[in-house]
Amino acid sequence: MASHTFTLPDLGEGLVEATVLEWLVAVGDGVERNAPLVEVETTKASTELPSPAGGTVLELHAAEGETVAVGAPLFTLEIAAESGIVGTVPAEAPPTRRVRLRPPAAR
Amino acid sequence: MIAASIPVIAARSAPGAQSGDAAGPPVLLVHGFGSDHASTWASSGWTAALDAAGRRWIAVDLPGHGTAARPTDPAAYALEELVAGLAAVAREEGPVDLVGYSLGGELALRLAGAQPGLARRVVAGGIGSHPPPELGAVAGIPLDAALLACAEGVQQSPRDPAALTAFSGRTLLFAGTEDPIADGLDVLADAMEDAEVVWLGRRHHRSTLSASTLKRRAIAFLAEG
Repeated sequence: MASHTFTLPDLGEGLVEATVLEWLVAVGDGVERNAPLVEVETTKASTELPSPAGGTVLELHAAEGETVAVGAPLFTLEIAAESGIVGTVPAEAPPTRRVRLRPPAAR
Repeated sequence: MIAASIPVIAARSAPGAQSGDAAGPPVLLVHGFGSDHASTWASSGWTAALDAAGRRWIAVDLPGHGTAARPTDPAAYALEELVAGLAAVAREEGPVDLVGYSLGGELALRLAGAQPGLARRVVAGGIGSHPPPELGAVAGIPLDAALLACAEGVQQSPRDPAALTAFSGRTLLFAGTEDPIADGLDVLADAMEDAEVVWLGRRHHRSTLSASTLKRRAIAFLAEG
Protein backbone atom coordinates (compact mmCIF):
# COMPACT_ATOMS: atom_id res chain seq x y z
CA MET A 1 0.00 0.00 0.00
CA ALA A 2 1.28 3.40 -0.90
CA SER A 3 -0.33 6.79 -1.03
CA HIS A 4 0.33 8.91 -4.06
CA THR A 5 -0.63 12.53 -4.57
CA PHE A 6 -1.54 13.49 -8.12
CA THR A 7 -1.26 17.05 -9.38
CA LEU A 8 -3.36 18.92 -11.90
CA PRO A 9 -1.92 17.78 -15.24
CA ASP A 10 -0.90 20.10 -18.04
CA LEU A 11 -4.14 20.53 -19.98
CA GLY A 12 -2.39 21.89 -23.07
CA GLU A 13 -3.16 25.04 -25.02
CA GLY A 14 -1.02 27.08 -22.62
CA LEU A 15 -3.59 26.75 -19.83
CA VAL A 16 -2.06 27.38 -16.40
CA GLU A 17 -4.97 26.66 -14.08
CA ALA A 18 -8.40 25.09 -13.84
CA THR A 19 -11.39 25.35 -11.55
CA VAL A 20 -12.85 22.26 -9.90
CA LEU A 21 -16.48 22.03 -10.98
CA GLU A 22 -17.48 18.75 -9.42
CA TRP A 23 -15.81 15.84 -7.70
CA LEU A 24 -17.20 12.58 -9.08
CA VAL A 25 -15.74 10.61 -6.15
CA ALA A 26 -15.57 11.13 -2.39
CA VAL A 27 -12.91 10.34 0.20
CA GLY A 28 -13.02 6.62 0.88
CA ASP A 29 -14.35 5.69 -2.56
CA GLY A 30 -12.60 3.03 -4.59
CA VAL A 31 -11.75 4.11 -8.13
CA GLU A 32 -10.62 2.20 -11.14
CA ARG A 33 -7.92 3.42 -13.46
CA ASN A 34 -9.40 5.68 -16.19
CA ALA A 35 -12.74 6.09 -14.39
CA PRO A 36 -13.99 9.72 -14.34
CA LEU A 37 -12.64 11.35 -11.19
CA VAL A 38 -13.17 15.07 -11.35
CA GLU A 39 -14.65 17.62 -13.66
CA VAL A 40 -12.59 20.79 -14.14
CA GLU A 41 -13.17 23.95 -16.09
CA THR A 42 -10.56 25.95 -17.93
CA THR A 43 -10.96 29.18 -19.83
CA LYS A 44 -11.56 27.04 -22.91
CA ALA A 45 -13.89 24.24 -21.89
CA SER A 46 -14.93 21.91 -19.12
CA THR A 47 -13.16 18.59 -19.00
CA GLU A 48 -13.53 15.32 -17.19
CA LEU A 49 -10.22 13.97 -15.84
CA PRO A 50 -9.88 10.20 -15.62
CA SER A 51 -8.16 8.58 -12.67
CA PRO A 52 -4.52 7.89 -13.55
CA ALA A 53 -4.48 4.81 -11.29
CA GLY A 54 -6.75 2.43 -9.42
CA GLY A 55 -7.02 2.79 -5.66
CA THR A 56 -8.89 4.40 -2.81
CA VAL A 57 -9.43 8.14 -2.51
CA LEU A 58 -7.58 9.42 0.56
CA GLU A 59 -7.84 13.17 0.11
CA LEU A 60 -9.25 15.77 -2.27
CA HIS A 61 -7.03 18.86 -2.20
CA ALA A 62 -9.44 21.41 -3.64
CA ALA A 63 -13.07 22.22 -2.94
CA GLU A 64 -15.63 22.57 -5.72
CA GLY A 65 -15.34 26.09 -7.09
CA GLU A 66 -11.69 26.37 -6.13
CA THR A 67 -9.01 27.19 -8.72
CA VAL A 68 -5.97 24.92 -8.92
CA ALA A 69 -2.70 25.70 -10.72
CA VAL A 70 -1.20 23.18 -13.13
CA GLY A 71 1.23 21.10 -11.05
CA ALA A 72 -0.51 21.76 -7.72
CA PRO A 73 -1.84 18.80 -5.67
CA LEU A 74 -5.33 17.73 -6.75
CA PHE A 75 -6.03 14.42 -5.01
CA THR A 76 -4.32 11.62 -3.11
CA LEU A 77 -4.97 7.95 -3.79
CA GLU A 78 -3.99 4.92 -1.79
CA ILE A 79 -2.76 2.51 -4.42
CA ALA A 80 -3.20 -1.12 -3.50
CA ALA A 81 -0.23 -2.68 -5.20
CA GLU A 82 2.49 -1.80 -7.62
CA SER A 83 0.70 -3.26 -10.57
CA GLY A 84 1.72 -3.03 -14.15
CA ILE A 85 5.22 -4.42 -13.83
CA VAL A 86 5.53 -8.05 -14.86
CA GLY A 87 8.67 -10.04 -14.08
CA THR A 88 11.62 -8.82 -12.10
CA VAL A 89 13.54 -5.64 -12.42
CA PRO A 90 17.28 -5.91 -11.77
CA ALA A 91 18.26 -4.18 -8.57
CA GLU A 92 20.47 -1.20 -8.92
CA ALA A 93 23.91 -1.84 -7.55
CA PRO A 94 27.21 -0.05 -7.94
CA PRO A 95 29.38 -1.50 -10.70
CA THR A 96 31.86 -4.01 -9.46
CA ARG A 97 34.29 -3.99 -12.34
CA ARG A 98 36.35 -1.09 -13.44
CA VAL A 99 37.52 -0.64 -16.93
CA ARG A 100 40.31 1.73 -17.58
CA LEU A 101 40.47 3.27 -20.97
CA ARG A 102 43.94 4.04 -22.15
CA PRO A 103 44.88 5.61 -25.42
CA PRO A 104 46.80 3.27 -27.69
CA ALA A 105 50.52 3.56 -27.10
CA ALA A 106 52.28 5.70 -29.58
CA ARG A 107 54.75 3.88 -31.75
CA MET B 1 -26.13 22.39 -51.62
CA ILE B 2 -22.59 23.75 -51.24
CA ALA B 3 -20.15 20.83 -51.02
CA ALA B 4 -17.94 22.67 -48.54
CA SER B 5 -20.91 22.88 -46.15
CA ILE B 6 -20.86 19.15 -45.52
CA PRO B 7 -19.30 18.26 -42.17
CA VAL B 8 -16.75 15.45 -41.89
CA ILE B 9 -17.16 12.41 -39.69
CA ALA B 10 -14.21 13.02 -37.38
CA ALA B 11 -14.68 10.14 -34.94
CA ARG B 12 -17.01 7.26 -34.26
CA SER B 13 -17.41 4.54 -31.67
CA ALA B 14 -15.21 1.48 -32.06
CA PRO B 15 -16.92 -1.23 -34.14
CA GLY B 16 -18.13 -4.17 -32.11
CA ALA B 17 -17.49 -2.41 -28.80
CA GLN B 18 -21.20 -2.12 -28.05
CA SER B 19 -23.12 -4.47 -25.87
CA GLY B 20 -25.89 -6.41 -27.56
CA ASP B 21 -28.80 -4.95 -25.62
CA ALA B 22 -27.98 -1.34 -26.47
CA ALA B 23 -31.16 -0.25 -28.17
CA GLY B 24 -31.51 2.72 -30.43
CA PRO B 25 -30.02 4.15 -33.58
CA PRO B 26 -26.52 5.67 -33.69
CA VAL B 27 -26.08 8.95 -31.87
CA LEU B 28 -24.90 11.78 -34.13
CA LEU B 29 -22.94 14.35 -32.10
CA VAL B 30 -22.79 17.95 -33.37
CA HIS B 31 -20.46 20.47 -31.69
CA GLY B 32 -20.88 24.23 -31.46
CA PHE B 33 -19.26 27.32 -32.93
CA GLY B 34 -15.48 27.62 -32.48
CA SER B 35 -15.10 24.10 -31.10
CA ASP B 36 -14.66 20.65 -32.60
CA HIS B 37 -15.76 17.08 -31.99
CA ALA B 38 -12.95 16.23 -29.57
CA SER B 39 -13.09 19.22 -27.24
CA THR B 40 -16.88 19.12 -27.16
CA TRP B 41 -17.70 15.43 -26.85
CA ALA B 42 -14.51 13.57 -25.84
CA SER B 43 -13.00 15.80 -23.16
CA SER B 44 -16.42 16.44 -21.61
CA GLY B 45 -16.85 12.69 -21.11
CA TRP B 46 -19.82 12.21 -23.48
CA THR B 47 -18.23 9.69 -25.83
CA ALA B 48 -16.92 7.65 -22.88
CA ALA B 49 -20.39 7.71 -21.30
CA LEU B 50 -22.00 6.59 -24.59
CA ASP B 51 -19.41 3.81 -24.88
CA ALA B 52 -20.19 2.70 -21.33
CA ALA B 53 -23.90 2.66 -22.19
CA GLY B 54 -23.19 0.56 -25.28
CA ARG B 55 -24.40 3.18 -27.75
CA ARG B 56 -23.00 3.61 -31.22
CA TRP B 57 -22.00 7.22 -31.92
CA ILE B 58 -20.68 9.37 -34.74
CA ALA B 59 -19.06 12.78 -34.12
CA VAL B 60 -18.72 15.35 -36.89
CA ASP B 61 -16.51 18.39 -37.34
CA LEU B 62 -18.60 21.19 -38.83
CA PRO B 63 -17.25 23.13 -41.83
CA GLY B 64 -14.60 25.62 -40.70
CA HIS B 65 -13.90 23.57 -37.60
CA GLY B 66 -11.50 20.79 -36.60
CA THR B 67 -10.58 18.53 -39.50
CA ALA B 68 -13.31 19.78 -41.87
CA ALA B 69 -12.88 21.98 -44.94
CA ARG B 70 -12.41 25.66 -44.10
CA PRO B 71 -14.29 27.73 -46.67
CA THR B 72 -13.95 31.48 -46.22
CA ASP B 73 -17.15 32.37 -48.08
CA PRO B 74 -19.89 33.18 -45.54
CA ALA B 75 -22.45 31.64 -47.92
CA ALA B 76 -21.07 28.18 -47.10
CA TYR B 77 -22.13 28.71 -43.49
CA ALA B 78 -25.69 29.82 -44.06
CA LEU B 79 -27.86 27.89 -41.60
CA GLU B 80 -29.77 26.16 -44.37
CA GLU B 81 -26.49 25.02 -45.97
CA LEU B 82 -25.15 23.71 -42.66
CA VAL B 83 -28.42 21.86 -42.05
CA ALA B 84 -28.33 20.40 -45.56
CA GLY B 85 -24.72 19.31 -45.09
CA LEU B 86 -25.54 17.67 -41.77
CA ALA B 87 -28.53 15.98 -43.38
CA ALA B 88 -26.24 14.42 -45.99
CA VAL B 89 -24.15 12.82 -43.23
CA ALA B 90 -27.18 11.78 -41.17
CA ARG B 91 -28.86 10.12 -44.16
CA GLU B 92 -25.79 7.89 -44.64
CA GLU B 93 -26.18 6.65 -41.07
CA GLY B 94 -29.83 7.30 -40.49
CA PRO B 95 -32.15 7.18 -38.77
CA VAL B 96 -30.17 8.71 -35.92
CA ASP B 97 -30.54 10.20 -32.48
CA LEU B 98 -29.26 13.77 -32.76
CA VAL B 99 -27.26 15.38 -29.96
CA GLY B 100 -26.03 18.95 -30.40
CA TYR B 101 -24.70 21.77 -28.30
CA SER B 102 -24.89 25.51 -28.93
CA LEU B 103 -24.78 26.04 -32.72
CA GLY B 104 -24.80 22.23 -33.01
CA GLY B 105 -27.99 22.13 -30.94
CA GLU B 106 -29.67 24.62 -33.21
CA LEU B 107 -28.59 22.62 -36.29
CA ALA B 108 -29.85 19.39 -34.71
CA LEU B 109 -33.28 20.86 -33.99
CA ARG B 110 -33.59 22.44 -37.44
CA LEU B 111 -32.50 19.23 -39.19
CA ALA B 112 -34.87 17.05 -37.18
CA GLY B 113 -37.75 19.41 -37.90
CA ALA B 114 -36.99 19.73 -41.60
CA GLN B 115 -36.59 16.00 -42.31
CA PRO B 116 -39.24 13.96 -40.51
CA GLY B 117 -38.11 10.38 -40.01
CA LEU B 118 -34.40 11.18 -40.08
CA ALA B 119 -34.10 11.78 -36.33
CA ARG B 120 -35.72 9.54 -33.73
CA ARG B 121 -34.89 11.73 -30.73
CA VAL B 122 -33.08 15.00 -30.21
CA VAL B 123 -30.98 16.22 -27.30
CA ALA B 124 -30.05 19.89 -27.74
CA GLY B 125 -28.49 22.36 -25.32
CA GLY B 126 -26.88 25.74 -24.92
CA ILE B 127 -29.50 27.45 -27.05
CA GLY B 128 -32.34 29.84 -26.33
CA SER B 129 -35.23 31.45 -28.06
CA HIS B 130 -32.99 34.20 -29.49
CA PRO B 131 -29.86 33.77 -31.62
CA PRO B 132 -26.69 34.60 -29.69
CA PRO B 133 -25.79 38.27 -30.22
CA GLU B 134 -22.09 37.73 -30.91
CA LEU B 135 -20.79 34.31 -31.94
CA GLY B 136 -17.14 35.34 -31.66
CA ALA B 137 -17.58 36.24 -28.01
CA VAL B 138 -19.28 32.90 -27.36
CA ALA B 139 -16.27 30.95 -28.54
CA GLY B 140 -13.80 32.98 -26.48
CA ILE B 141 -11.02 32.22 -28.93
CA PRO B 142 -9.26 34.12 -31.71
CA LEU B 143 -11.15 33.64 -34.96
CA ASP B 144 -9.42 32.71 -38.21
CA ALA B 145 -10.80 33.58 -41.65
CA ALA B 146 -12.99 30.46 -41.75
CA LEU B 147 -14.51 31.10 -38.32
CA LEU B 148 -15.10 34.75 -39.15
CA ALA B 149 -16.91 33.64 -42.31
CA CYS B 150 -18.86 31.10 -40.25
CA ALA B 151 -19.94 33.71 -37.70
CA GLU B 152 -21.01 36.03 -40.51
CA GLY B 153 -22.82 33.32 -42.47
CA VAL B 154 -24.71 32.01 -39.45
CA GLN B 155 -25.65 35.43 -38.12
CA GLN B 156 -26.87 36.74 -41.44
CA SER B 157 -29.02 33.68 -42.08
CA PRO B 158 -32.75 34.15 -42.04
CA ARG B 159 -34.06 32.45 -38.92
CA ASP B 160 -37.52 31.00 -39.07
CA PRO B 161 -38.39 30.43 -35.40
CA ALA B 162 -41.04 27.88 -36.34
CA ALA B 163 -38.39 25.73 -38.07
CA LEU B 164 -36.44 25.55 -34.82
CA THR B 165 -39.37 24.02 -32.94
CA ALA B 166 -40.94 21.97 -35.74
CA PHE B 167 -39.63 18.57 -34.63
CA SER B 168 -42.51 16.57 -33.19
CA GLY B 169 -40.51 13.67 -31.74
CA ARG B 170 -39.29 13.42 -28.19
CA THR B 171 -36.79 16.11 -27.34
CA LEU B 172 -34.57 16.86 -24.34
CA LEU B 173 -33.44 20.48 -24.05
CA PHE B 174 -30.79 21.51 -21.52
CA ALA B 175 -28.75 24.52 -20.43
CA GLY B 176 -26.85 25.96 -17.50
CA THR B 177 -28.76 28.35 -15.26
CA GLU B 178 -25.85 30.83 -15.63
CA ASP B 179 -25.86 30.71 -19.44
CA PRO B 180 -27.32 33.91 -20.90
CA ILE B 181 -27.32 32.35 -24.39
CA ALA B 182 -29.95 29.89 -23.19
CA ASP B 183 -32.39 32.66 -22.33
CA GLY B 184 -35.85 31.54 -23.38
CA LEU B 185 -35.12 27.82 -23.52
CA ASP B 186 -38.43 27.17 -21.76
CA VAL B 187 -40.17 29.16 -24.51
CA LEU B 188 -38.62 26.83 -27.09
CA ALA B 189 -39.77 23.80 -25.14
CA ASP B 190 -43.31 25.13 -24.88
CA ALA B 191 -43.41 25.66 -28.64
CA MET B 192 -42.43 22.05 -29.28
CA GLU B 193 -44.77 19.12 -29.29
CA ASP B 194 -42.88 16.85 -26.92
CA ALA B 195 -39.92 18.55 -25.24
CA GLU B 196 -38.66 18.44 -21.68
CA VAL B 197 -36.08 20.79 -20.18
CA VAL B 198 -33.16 20.10 -17.87
CA TRP B 199 -31.58 23.11 -16.15
CA LEU B 200 -28.12 22.65 -14.65
CA GLY B 201 -27.52 24.79 -11.60
CA ARG B 202 -24.39 26.98 -11.37
CA ARG B 203 -23.35 26.07 -14.91
CA HIS B 204 -22.64 28.52 -17.69
CA HIS B 205 -22.20 28.04 -21.45
CA ARG B 206 -18.76 26.44 -21.33
CA SER B 207 -19.21 24.39 -18.16
CA THR B 208 -22.61 22.79 -18.82
CA LEU B 209 -21.77 19.92 -21.11
CA SER B 210 -19.45 17.99 -18.81
CA ALA B 211 -21.94 17.81 -15.92
CA SER B 212 -22.29 14.15 -14.95
CA THR B 213 -25.98 14.52 -14.04
CA LEU B 214 -26.63 15.79 -17.56
CA LYS B 215 -24.86 12.87 -19.24
CA ARG B 216 -26.76 10.37 -17.09
CA ARG B 217 -30.07 12.04 -17.85
CA ALA B 218 -29.39 12.31 -21.59
CA ILE B 219 -28.25 8.71 -21.94
CA ALA B 220 -31.29 7.46 -20.04
CA PHE B 221 -33.48 9.61 -22.30
CA LEU B 222 -31.84 8.16 -25.42
CA ALA B 223 -32.20 4.62 -24.10
CA GLU B 224 -35.98 4.85 -23.72
CA GLY B 225 -37.76 3.10 -26.58
